Amino acid sequence: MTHPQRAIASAAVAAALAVAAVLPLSAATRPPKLAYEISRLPNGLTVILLEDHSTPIVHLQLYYHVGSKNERPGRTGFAHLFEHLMFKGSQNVDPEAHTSFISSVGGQSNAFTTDDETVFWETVPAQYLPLVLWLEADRMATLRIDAETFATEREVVKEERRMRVDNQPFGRLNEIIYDQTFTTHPYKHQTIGSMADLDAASVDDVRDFYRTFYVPSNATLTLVGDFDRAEATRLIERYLGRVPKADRAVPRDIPAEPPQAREKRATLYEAWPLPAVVVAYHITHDGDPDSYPLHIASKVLSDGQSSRIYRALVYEDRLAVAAYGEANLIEDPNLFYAVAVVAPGRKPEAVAEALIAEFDRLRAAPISARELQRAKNQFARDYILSRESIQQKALHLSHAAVIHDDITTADGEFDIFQNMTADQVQRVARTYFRPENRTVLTILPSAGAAASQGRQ
Amino acid sequence: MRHRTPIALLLAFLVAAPAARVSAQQPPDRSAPPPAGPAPALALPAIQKRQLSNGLPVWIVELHEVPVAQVNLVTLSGSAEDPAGKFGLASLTSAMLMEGAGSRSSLEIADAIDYLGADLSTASTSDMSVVRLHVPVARLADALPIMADVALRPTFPAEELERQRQQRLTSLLQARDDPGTIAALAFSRVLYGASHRYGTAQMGTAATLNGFTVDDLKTFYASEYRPANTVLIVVGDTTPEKAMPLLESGFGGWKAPAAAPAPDVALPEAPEPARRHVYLVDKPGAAQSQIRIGWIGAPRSTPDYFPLQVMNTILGGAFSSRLNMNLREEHGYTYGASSQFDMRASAGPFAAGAGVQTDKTTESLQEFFKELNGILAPVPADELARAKNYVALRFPSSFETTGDISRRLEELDVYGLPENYFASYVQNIQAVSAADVQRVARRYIQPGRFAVVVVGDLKTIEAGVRSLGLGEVTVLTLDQVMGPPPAN
Repeated sequence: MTHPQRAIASAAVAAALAVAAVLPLSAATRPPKLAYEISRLPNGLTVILLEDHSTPIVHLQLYYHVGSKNERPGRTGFAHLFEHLMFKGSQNVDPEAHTSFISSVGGQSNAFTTDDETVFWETVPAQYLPLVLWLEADRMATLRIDAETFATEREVVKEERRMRVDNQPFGRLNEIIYDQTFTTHPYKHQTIGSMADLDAASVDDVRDFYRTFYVPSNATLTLVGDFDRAEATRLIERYLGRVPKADRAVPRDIPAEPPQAREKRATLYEAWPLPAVVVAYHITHDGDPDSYPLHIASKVLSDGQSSRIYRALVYEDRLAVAAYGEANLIEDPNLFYAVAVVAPGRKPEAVAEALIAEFDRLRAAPISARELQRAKNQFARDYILSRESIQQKALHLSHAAVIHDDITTADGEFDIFQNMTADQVQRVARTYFRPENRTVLTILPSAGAAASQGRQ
Repeated sequence: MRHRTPIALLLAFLVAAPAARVSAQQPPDRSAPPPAGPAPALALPAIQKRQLSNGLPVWIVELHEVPVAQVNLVTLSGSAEDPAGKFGLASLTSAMLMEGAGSRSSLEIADAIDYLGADLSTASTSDMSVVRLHVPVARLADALPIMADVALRPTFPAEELERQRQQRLTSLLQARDDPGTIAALAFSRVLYGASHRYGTAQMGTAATLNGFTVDDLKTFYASEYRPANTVLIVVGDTTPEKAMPLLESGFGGWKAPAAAPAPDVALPEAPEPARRHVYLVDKPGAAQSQIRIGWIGAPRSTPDYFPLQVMNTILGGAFSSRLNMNLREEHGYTYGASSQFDMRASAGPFAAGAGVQTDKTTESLQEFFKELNGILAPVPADELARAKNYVALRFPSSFETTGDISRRLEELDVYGLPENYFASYVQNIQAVSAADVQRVARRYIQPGRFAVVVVGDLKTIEAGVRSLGLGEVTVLTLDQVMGPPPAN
């Protein structure tokens, strides 16, 4: 599963040290648009095709619109556990044969689960497109569900949790942030889930989840690479087009998070080498008009060594050994949060106040013209550089089609960002960075170092 | 929402459900995997070789798909050149290039690069130091002068050295809580010892970090960063005609200082262990045990390179390798088990490893040795064919982006690989025979002489590990692995 653990790396900053000699740049160059084609099969499967003949490989992405926010209480971690089970064989494919088919043709395949989606992908030499369509169709239509395999795979997932979360300094950071800030919406729990819930999951849960969410109308197939569109369409209809239509609608009854009425402050203890502080605000969802200025605010606060948080906390005042902040803009309203790892000898209270001061600054005054242009240029860089590989192109397309429910955003957001103003950034800062909408967490090293992580 | 439908019924239901029109006419047939279509040809990137007026070689590969350019300045000096007692100097020097150059301070460099919407970074390995620029091609002309300042005119400000020093000391402090890092460092240390460069982290130790001065940085830079020791790699949406004038004005005036460079010294050969030895590091309360098993492998120049790629793919180099199939898929002891040869200019380590369930540490070790011994027997023909395909057919995907291609060119340069290396790669893999695999397995996989490192909760795992009788057992302290902690 991805849900990338934010690396506690030194991010950085240095805002307005405007080098007088650098001339203002005109608007960033617009990269070429993606020449995709989107359609829907009679069984409800959405299909996105983008030919790209630069390298003789093809990338397939099957994007199921189900993630850990679709889990019911007591079954946290299930969406991701299910992702693992999709590699355990189907009617015509033996357990783990999927991976060996792909690797024996020099391909790569994997999957990841986030709060919102579960994505399966393969990159293979172009001539093996029929093989990957066959594999995906077989597991969408006829997954094998076996109690013994389920039990073994559950152990693998528990080991994944231990490796990524429990056995890593700061590994539980996101779990703590979301548990403390959310009360109702399932974003409260992490995609990896809890050990107790993983243990409680049953084979019946597997069948139910499969029948509910792994249906053509809840899936989007994106192909990018070296193929012929007409030939690919014929193959897709032949394999995935014959997967039966679902007999019921996919449930979308996810409880909303009520607005936070007053500031929360909490102190917690973890077996970490240094203290950490977190300042978090509830914000809106990805694709909302407010999300774009929030994205700009995120860049001004924390993209690069010239950004405000790095410069103030790490570089100038040396309050923190690492500090970053970001807007987590995903399908449902989420958080804008900043984290600082407190430098040895510094007081966590002072570090928290310094982080809050950076949010307050965004409310008090508009960002400078230079900061705005820099953020736009950085956005243009991310935009271009994140469309280099066929896998990245596919992710942009499926994300736009599924999470935004509007594939034109895959290209359209470039212009939205280039037209942002400093006033818009200040307006969203005033909307969201209010004290009553804030959570401040102080996480101190527990006595006895890494011992006794009895959190099963 | 809960269903107790037996699986067979559920499947029957799914298959029989009213389906799309296509299905109604033609029942689904997925009983056998479909045949592959015709294989497209990989057009290998042509390397256009040029030279600046100071003799600096320039390699250009055109890739016009996306309007970006990657420019890497690769210097053939890395941590293997660290002087005795100054381990970590190459890594620190490389990082310090960004912390002040030409007329710009650290923050001014960051601001100028961020403002252009470019990425500029430095990195170093055992065998090279590199400055990398990734930039929308429209900004290439603006970004190159900043890159040239960083690479050719670093100022090494004293206050930035202090900042880097503190950051690195803090990283070392945090690494003492990370079992995976501890296992990797312990493994290198027991194989190579404290005096061989490969036996200590690239970053050095708290003791060496505390000793570095601005003069150390300047001396290392002057001796190692020289045009004669460097290649400029350009990949992207440009041409030699467009790029060369920009490169000439940025890098063509670079001259080596008058003082002679440090002589090239090959690292001493570290002796292979004579017998198996177990090393334990205590991490009380650890959620997993981190295991590393192996010894000193092979240098990048080994004539056994291709057979080793194939053999390791079968053993632990891929998801469907034997180690992962056994420890993850069959037993569920781990999220992933793997093995690799870390090939450098001198022989780097071969390690098999995993993070495993604490209470399955003993069983995991047994399964590791079962597979390490198993690879010594002849490999079945179909498994060999699958492994060769895995390595050969995925080759094109390592040439996809400007970054990918530039890394392949770095490898070509740093390890002096032949001109036809890429063109003959697939053929060289396909030529590997079962006998080759067995020969290299027997030479490089000698489980009876391997070092075994386990980092975990010793009060839970030590008795079990000892009961296996793998060999002499030594318990190492963190200080023995990493040196004394930074004073904080």
